[in-house]
Amino acid sequence: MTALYVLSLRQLAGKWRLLIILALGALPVVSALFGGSGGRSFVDDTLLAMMTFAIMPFITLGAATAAFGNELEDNTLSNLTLNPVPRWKIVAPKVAAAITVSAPVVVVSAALSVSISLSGDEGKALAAVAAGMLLGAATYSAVFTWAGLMNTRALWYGLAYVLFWEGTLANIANGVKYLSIQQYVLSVVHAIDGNLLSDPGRGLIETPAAVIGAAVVFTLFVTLTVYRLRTMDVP
Amino acid sequence: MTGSLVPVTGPDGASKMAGGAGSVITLDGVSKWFGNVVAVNDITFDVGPGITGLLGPNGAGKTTLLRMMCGLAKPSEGRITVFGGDTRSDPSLYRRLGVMREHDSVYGSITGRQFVEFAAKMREVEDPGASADHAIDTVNLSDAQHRKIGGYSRGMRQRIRLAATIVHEPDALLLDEPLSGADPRQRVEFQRVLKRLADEGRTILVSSHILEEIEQLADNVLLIVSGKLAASGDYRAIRASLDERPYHVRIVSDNPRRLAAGLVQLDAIDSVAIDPNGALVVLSRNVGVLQRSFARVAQDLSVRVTLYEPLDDSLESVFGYLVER
Repeated sequence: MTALYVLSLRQLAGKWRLLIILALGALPVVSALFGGSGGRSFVDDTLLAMMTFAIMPFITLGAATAAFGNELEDNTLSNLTLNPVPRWKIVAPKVAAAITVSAPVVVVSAALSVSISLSGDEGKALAAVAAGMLLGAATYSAVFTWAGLMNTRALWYGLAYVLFWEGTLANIANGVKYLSIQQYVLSVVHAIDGNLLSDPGRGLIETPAAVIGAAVVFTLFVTLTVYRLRTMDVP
Repeated sequence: MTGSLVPVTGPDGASKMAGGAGSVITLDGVSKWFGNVVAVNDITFDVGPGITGLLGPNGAGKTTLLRMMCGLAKPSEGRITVFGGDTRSDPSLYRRLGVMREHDSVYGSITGRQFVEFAAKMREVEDPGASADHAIDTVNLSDAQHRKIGGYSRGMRQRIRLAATIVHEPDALLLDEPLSGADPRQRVEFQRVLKRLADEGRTILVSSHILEEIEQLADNVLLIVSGKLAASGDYRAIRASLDERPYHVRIVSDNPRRLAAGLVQLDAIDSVAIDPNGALVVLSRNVGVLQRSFARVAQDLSVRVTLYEPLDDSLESVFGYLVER
């Protein structure tokens, strides 16, 4: 699995992809710099909103859909499947590589921007934001890795999912919140630092539901990816 | 697979060939369709040790057949076993199977050495480094192994892919058009490697749409036409059948009438005609004799020939003739 993990990292860490990911990751930091010490309300309403609604999903979308998408595009997927290894040993390094490329950028970007806004004296807030982003990056990576194996236009479908489901439906329909990765992240952030996202009007879901939901989504989509790899006709 | 040319279309329309002892790959009533298009139609055959050629024109279904044999595609109908198992449900069979696809499926950003070592690690070879050394040496690419594959020529990429295919020393090899794009010297080298591997007792199935490639490589052939197994057996029997088929040749010369008079004396000639452009059109049922005698007749009659053009020598016409017999 190590060999495939290393190869996948090399594939995902292409110059242009990294530049785009880093540019996206820089946006919250730039916002925080312009916003000055905006305090918790700025973190809640601007930074966390920007991170969870756009930056985190877009970064993981760019990395994870390419995890198998590269292979589908250049006909190299058979180099992986024509081997005597269980299919999960192909999927696991791919998901791990997607997380490795996206999570550090997302976590550092969120932590740095929050640190700037709170003047760097809020260790608990930083831990909360970092944990939430890590959870979100991992969960999104599982979903988008599956999407990348399902369709060569996964990037566009993923974009539509993020904007429509996560960005719109999850904010207006209470039931959908339990099926929203963005809501899992916000709930976990609030659970670790109760001072963040403390406005009761936000209607955050319960923390156990968020943690279990993220675990279920992660496991489900990794399993679906393994199943897809086992049953698909490899081009 | 044994025997001479075997007609394989049975009374039920199914393409069949009797299985032999020691079969490594077995297909039983295999079909594959994509929507309304039938790519492979009810094919049954066995492949055993040695080199077997999978011969057919472009679009005949060879690649689809190979993709199903190696587990990349699922048959719409029928059953395929490799070493008695199904590669789609039992990936461990890939320890004994090597597959080289027609696509140039390599990672351009890594070196040839890294590519072969990666293949060795993915196949859980005990000593990936030593195995990669051996495989790269086998295809004579040691000097270029540390260069990035993106900078390789087509022939070099073919060879590095073959090295990756054999790095785990598989008992069976499925090679889809492996000589495509190789220059004559590389072809000879490729053929030498494959023959040596076959001499070691391995089962090798090589696809090609070029008759001469298969002739030089394989004693046994499976002839695929329009998704069906049209013939199978000894290559020489197929070649002999080809020599007997009607054969039209167009000849442009400075004295077609004198050449016609000379050619009609040959037993191999069925008819001779002069077309509106003044060229000779010769019909023969013994192409071997015609090709051997033609130049001598022209020389004896002091006729200067500027064009000798087979009119129906396309691969499709050859396969079409065999299927119609």
